[in-house]
Amino acid sequence: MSTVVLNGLFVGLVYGLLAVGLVVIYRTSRIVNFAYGETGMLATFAYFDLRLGTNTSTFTRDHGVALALPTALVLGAAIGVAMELLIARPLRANPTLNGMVGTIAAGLLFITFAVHRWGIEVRPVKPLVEGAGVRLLGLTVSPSQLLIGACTAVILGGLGALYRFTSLGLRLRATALNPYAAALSGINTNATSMATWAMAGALSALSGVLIAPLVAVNVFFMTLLTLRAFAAALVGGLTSIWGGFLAGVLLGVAESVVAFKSPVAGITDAVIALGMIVLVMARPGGLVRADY
Amino acid sequence: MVPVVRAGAVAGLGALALLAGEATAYKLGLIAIVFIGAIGLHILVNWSGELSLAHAGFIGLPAFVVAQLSLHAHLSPILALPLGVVAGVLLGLVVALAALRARGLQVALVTLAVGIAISRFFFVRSWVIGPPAGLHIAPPSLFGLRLETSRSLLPVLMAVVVLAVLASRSILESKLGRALSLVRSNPDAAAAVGIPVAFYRGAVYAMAGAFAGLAGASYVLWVQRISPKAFPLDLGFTYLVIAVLAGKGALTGVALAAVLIEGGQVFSILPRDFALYAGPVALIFNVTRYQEGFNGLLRETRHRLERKVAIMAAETGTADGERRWRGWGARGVRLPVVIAALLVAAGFVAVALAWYHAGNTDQVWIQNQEMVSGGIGGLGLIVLGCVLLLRDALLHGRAVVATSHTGVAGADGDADWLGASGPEPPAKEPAGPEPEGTPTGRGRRTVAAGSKGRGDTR
Repeated sequence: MSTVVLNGLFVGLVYGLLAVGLVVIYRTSRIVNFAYGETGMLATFAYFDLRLGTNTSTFTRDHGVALALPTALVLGAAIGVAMELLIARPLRANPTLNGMVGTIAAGLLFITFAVHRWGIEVRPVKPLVEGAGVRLLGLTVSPSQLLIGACTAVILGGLGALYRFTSLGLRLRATALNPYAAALSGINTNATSMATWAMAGALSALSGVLIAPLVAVNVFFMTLLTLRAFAAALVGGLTSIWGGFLAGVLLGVAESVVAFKSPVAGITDAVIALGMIVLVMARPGGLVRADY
Repeated sequence: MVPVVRAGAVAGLGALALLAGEATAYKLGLIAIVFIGAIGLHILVNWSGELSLAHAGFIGLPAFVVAQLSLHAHLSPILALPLGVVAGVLLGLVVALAALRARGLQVALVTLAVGIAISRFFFVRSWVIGPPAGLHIAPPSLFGLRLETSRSLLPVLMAVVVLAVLASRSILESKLGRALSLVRSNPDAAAAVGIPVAFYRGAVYAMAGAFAGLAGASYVLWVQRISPKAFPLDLGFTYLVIAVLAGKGALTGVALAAVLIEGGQVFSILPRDFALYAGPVALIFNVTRYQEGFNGLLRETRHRLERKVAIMAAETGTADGERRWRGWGARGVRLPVVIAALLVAAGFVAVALAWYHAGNTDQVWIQNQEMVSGGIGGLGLIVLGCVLLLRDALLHGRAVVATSHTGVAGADGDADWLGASGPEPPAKEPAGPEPEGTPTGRGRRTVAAGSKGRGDTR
């Protein structure tokens, strides 16, 4: 049982990371990025192509983590920037409904391309770091999970420091709070928006690369994970970073426990749907309020 | 002109469908089913500004309900159609619960979760989906006539489509439709005016569910074979593409988009890769740039045509105008007359074809089906064409009488009965082209008055 909780915890950390990325985008552009998972998926598959992890790779040798990982991050950021330029910026006046439809279409596009390029079968991927794992409190933590934990800590700490202590962070917060006032104050909202989407895209790429060794990987694997991230972000009212992250972690643990206790297929999806309905009926603004 | 053109186009397509072969009729039926489902999403997305990502589940689950009822309760799928609608309404109400207090954004996320939950929870339960090979339904029968081929089932499906269109038009042209437009553009203003916004938004989700349930039940009726593979998640995205491409307005845009997208898929007109990529790209373009969809394109085209026709009618009196428009309007060929003549011809062709096919077979059930689809359908087309011709003749006659009485710009070039004659353009109005938009006396007076105005300023 405690192994189950531990596994769920690490999966929940990734849900939390994804939820943070969604919240960051929503705070800036007021758009729910339905293509968030697919951005990470493309970058992850590019990473595994570079490392010869897929059978359709066009490369002939394993280029190693040092080249593959930055490439994946840059690709994720580039996709994010492209979406900001093509979808978020034209819709700045009324972003909500049209932005959702636009990002849904972009997600469709990414998945179509991925299915053509890589096919739909599930493939095993080799983990990022090899090793035997660490024994912690009587439980074995695999190296992939350790990596997830470390990366999450670094990212969240870095993000918090960025937001609180740097001028870029100040600009990001100002743009998120009130884009018009920020523009009047002389902040380049275009550049800030682009930076946000790039950051979120890179975050999605990193999340995909981190969780790929732990789950069954095919071109749809991020789509299903991102649904959990949407639910978690909704708990934070789509604007609270900490709320979304914590909800993601709790969701990961809960999902693991429920799957272990009752192996009814699809029960987690049904419970998440019902939970979201209840949440939206009771507290549409989310359980946690954001502070900018 | 527009209602007549619309009716003519629909009847013409119906004629083509009746003349089609078996495989084509099957594919046309699939397009019709997608159209029914898209109507619901059209009301939701374009009239209310909401979003539903669960449409595949809204169609699939009632379809399974209808299929299971047909199998276990021995209910004909035709009779089970209302039950499919009820199942769809119930599903929509579940989402409507969430819509009571939340903004469209949160409700969209809830629909995403509900759609995935339906797909991954219900579509794996054997008590819902039956054996792994799928459920098979016996071909439906109507009044003792077994409808085994697609061509014989097509009139039934067309009747369902007509019902759906009438229902949606009555919804959209009623108080609810006007309220939904206002809620879409400014919910706070709508609430201030007294519209129960939350209740109407919930009702709209229920309506989308109703149309989706109807589409699912029709699918069972048409294909008679159902499995979860028929309702993948990206089916919901196909419907979303159709609804967004249709744009705000009437159902014509929805029909056009459904024919284009589903027709393209089913008839393999475009290479499959191109269609798969072009859909999302067109969607992004429409959402960020154009935002009016096919309905907007149709509106624009209609306005341009009407302006052209008005200019044409106004310039007919002058020598320049005559030279420019002589080929088209001077002989008084009216569009409704052309359409009606085509309908009558198509009707005769349908009857002849049915006669030929019935004569070439000695199986009674095929003869019965030919009688229904070709014979009665062809007769209906002939009647429709004659009705349109009669209507046009009556209106034309009434218009001629009206202008000769009001004396606007003299039907015969003389001073009108008021005794005033000015620098009027020489009389060409009655024989000239009818202002196509308004074949009534009132309209002709207006346009003729416009031409009189132009004559004055010359």
